[in-house]
Amino acid sequence: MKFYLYCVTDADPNLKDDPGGLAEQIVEVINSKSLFVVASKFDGEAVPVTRENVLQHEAIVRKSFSNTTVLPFRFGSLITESGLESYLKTREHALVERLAQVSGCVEMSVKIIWQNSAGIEDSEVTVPDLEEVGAGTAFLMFKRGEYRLEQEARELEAWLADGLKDVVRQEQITIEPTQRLVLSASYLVERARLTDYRRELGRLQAERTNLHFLSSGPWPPYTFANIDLEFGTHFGVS
Amino acid sequence: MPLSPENPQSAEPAIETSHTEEFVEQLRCVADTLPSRINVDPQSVEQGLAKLVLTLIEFIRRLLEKQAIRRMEGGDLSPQQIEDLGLALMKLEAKLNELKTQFGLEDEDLNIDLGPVGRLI
Amino acid sequence: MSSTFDQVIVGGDVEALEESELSLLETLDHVLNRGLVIAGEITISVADVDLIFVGLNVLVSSVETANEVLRSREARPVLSTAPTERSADH
Repeated sequence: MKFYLYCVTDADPNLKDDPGGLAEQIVEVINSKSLFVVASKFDGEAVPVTRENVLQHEAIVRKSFSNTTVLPFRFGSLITESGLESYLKTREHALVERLAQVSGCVEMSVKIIWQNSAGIEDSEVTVPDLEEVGAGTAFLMFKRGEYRLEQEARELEAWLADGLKDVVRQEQITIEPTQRLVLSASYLVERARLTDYRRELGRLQAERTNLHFLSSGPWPPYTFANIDLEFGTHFGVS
Repeated sequence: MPLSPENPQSAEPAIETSHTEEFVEQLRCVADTLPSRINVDPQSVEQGLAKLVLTLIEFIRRLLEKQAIRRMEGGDLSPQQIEDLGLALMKLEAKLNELKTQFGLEDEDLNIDLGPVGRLI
Repeated sequence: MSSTFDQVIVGGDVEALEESELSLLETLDHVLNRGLVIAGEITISVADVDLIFVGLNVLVSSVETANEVLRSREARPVLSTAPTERSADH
């Protein structure tokens, strides 16, 4: 029997015995020194990605978030009791530090769709017929178009970052230059500055009406929770 | 679209867009690719090293590509030279993709975050 | 395909369903891609990606009807933007 993990908090979120855990389990709150872990028992080796499970996970994290500062776990996190003990022991300091960093903040997200290679001439991104040029040349022309898209996408990223830098604490942006969903950004915003954030975002949206925006939030700080350096995690450093 | 509630703490996040259908379409594509991206196995040392090496090769490959494009645009290459260069780079890309597949790595795995310096690629 | 589904999809209902699906997709993007990671302990199963949308079976099982309504909806100026190309490669 493992634990399914929802989040780590810095105070008791008062969710003990909440019946909304995955697989109809009751929510438990495990306390270890200054940290609290919201979890529920889970029988099984894998967590199915169903609508119900996803929404239940999100609901428990959100309920915790309404009472305390939280660091959400990624959906599908299962751990044994001893594994959890060991995790908390080795990560205690990093978790406490991260909780302090996100305290009083929410996560806001922005996604942008551009209609086509925004601003780039069609002739620069289309590939000529192979009858006119060889495969190698067509390849280079295709790549040229891709690099131009990349340049445009990076410019978009910089424009957005510059516009919001005074109202956000942290940002994480990913761009996909060859996709229509070209940019996906998450921001750590102090609750007190949400109005300013919305105002600035509105201003930016009005500046570029050729772009389609989606904004969502406030969320618990999913994007800013992870304490393991990506580099470290990927290289097996724990 | 609903306005965000006064108290942002307990209410559900609001989602605001004038283009619901478009974003549904785009996000579905992202969702469809998610399962294959979840890495359930701890990274082996071998894979870690492969990632480092392949990342560096990928970095150089992109540099070469950009240089080739610049020279192509600069007009100091003959059509045959452009063709040969393009074919060579095409093969390099294909070889790299082969290696990535062998080690079970995706494009994103090769984009190491160097912190303040930014991402490698 | 049950004919009762066809009756459910009318005008605004498609919008509501879309918004619901968008909400789910945005939620997925946040809980599945991010958060604290316990190395080696992430275990999810996706037997059938469509399971995610099982709550939206009305859309899934009545795609044609939905598309028809969506097409007629696109014609309404208040909802349409400049005509966009549907990406066909996913």
